[in-house]
Amino acid sequence: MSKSEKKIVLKSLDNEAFEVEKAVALQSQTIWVMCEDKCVGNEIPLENVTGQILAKVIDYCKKHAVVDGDGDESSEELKNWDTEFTKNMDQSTLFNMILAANYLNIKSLLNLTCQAVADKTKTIDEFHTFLNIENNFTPEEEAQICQENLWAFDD
Amino acid sequence: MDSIPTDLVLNIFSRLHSKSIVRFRCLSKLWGSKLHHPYFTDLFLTILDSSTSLIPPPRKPRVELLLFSYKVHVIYNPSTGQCASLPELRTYGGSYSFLGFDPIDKQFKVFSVAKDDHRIRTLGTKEMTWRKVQCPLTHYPYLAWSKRICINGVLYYVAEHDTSELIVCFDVRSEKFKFIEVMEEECFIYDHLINYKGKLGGIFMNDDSADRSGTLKLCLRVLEDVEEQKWSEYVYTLQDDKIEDWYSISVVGVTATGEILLSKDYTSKPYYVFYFSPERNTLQSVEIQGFGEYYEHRHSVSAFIDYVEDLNFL
Repeated sequence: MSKSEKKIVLKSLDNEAFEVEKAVALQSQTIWVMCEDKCVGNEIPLENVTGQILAKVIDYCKKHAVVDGDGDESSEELKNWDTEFTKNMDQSTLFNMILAANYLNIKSLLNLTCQAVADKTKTIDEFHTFLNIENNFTPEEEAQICQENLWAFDD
Repeated sequence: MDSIPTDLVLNIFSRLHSKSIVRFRCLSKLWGSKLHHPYFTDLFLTILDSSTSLIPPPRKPRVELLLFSYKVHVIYNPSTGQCASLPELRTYGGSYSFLGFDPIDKQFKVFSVAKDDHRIRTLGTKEMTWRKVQCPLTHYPYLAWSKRICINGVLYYVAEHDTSELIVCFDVRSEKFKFIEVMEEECFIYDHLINYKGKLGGIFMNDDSADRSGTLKLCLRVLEDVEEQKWSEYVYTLQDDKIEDWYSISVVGVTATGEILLSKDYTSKPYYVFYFSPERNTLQSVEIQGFGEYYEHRHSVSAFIDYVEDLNFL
């Protein structure tokens, strides 16, 4: 990598192009490996991420890159920013953010989004929707599990 | 809609309260079994450790090495921050892993218990394989970390054998087993094993008085003689207004000076831990500050005895 190549273009699944600082993009281990291997040019196609989600991921990376750089912003402030960042995301956005963070291999973002889902998803039905699964217990089996673990179902 | 890979979903679940996890075992048959699996329960402990640990990293930890087992065994050294993974051990039907220390040869050994195949390896040697260990009794250890402890070269853990419970004593150096029978009506005492001045102890709390606040009863059993399986038993009544209810307090362990440390299970304002000295029969409460916003919602609290002595430094 030559030092003159400071910018990099990330291209989303739906062909939206984002020009970002390399330092921002390299928080993604996946992109880092791609650059390191020189297997891509200055434009990196990200076939699993839509433009809408990629824009959010880049916002996150920009915020975190700046802080790592000059250390002006306190970790407290960064934590608040993270909280705000995920606060108003709906389930489907969070779902896609998790997949993107996993694919791009950005560990801190993966932790943040997993934690956000854990904090927001309270009921069994919400998880059924989130995981796109159906309950295949019979009502009798379900009642038995509840009965065995009454303490967990008492509120 | 795509689906999220299993490991990511387990990552999300491992951040939930244990109560929620028990409830979510009703999600579906597949998820029910996944949330029961040792892989998940181990992962849950790992995440809990890293996210809710109260006390900052110790300056001089008494724990020299930590073992994490999640598909592979990883040894972590808190003093240097280094970790190393061990060669893969293939077991069928799940296994339970322990880290034991032999103070004579000063060696750590990783011991894995599976249904009929117990394996061991010594750390820091060029051993290429997991050696087989013969055991006369098929047993199934419990997962809970509180039901295992290594004292002076002997690894003690509570296990199930047929329908009864027993305490397995595994000598880390000679790699031989001894077994201590547990009477059915006594098994709850061994919910929490402790190192009581170099001896194995079991501890539990209850309170049979009508008024639940302010007091709790602490029962302590200490193994005086392994061969004769002789235990001595002590019962103490602890009194402090700051104890709101005994059932939301847990035993953390015993400090090097022989004090029993108790902690509240959930954040509260103010939040206390309690030191009880059986010798002097004194109870001291210590307020822990610095939970910040975590006071607002009930967060579970994990405390670690090996770190707790560093409270002196705060």
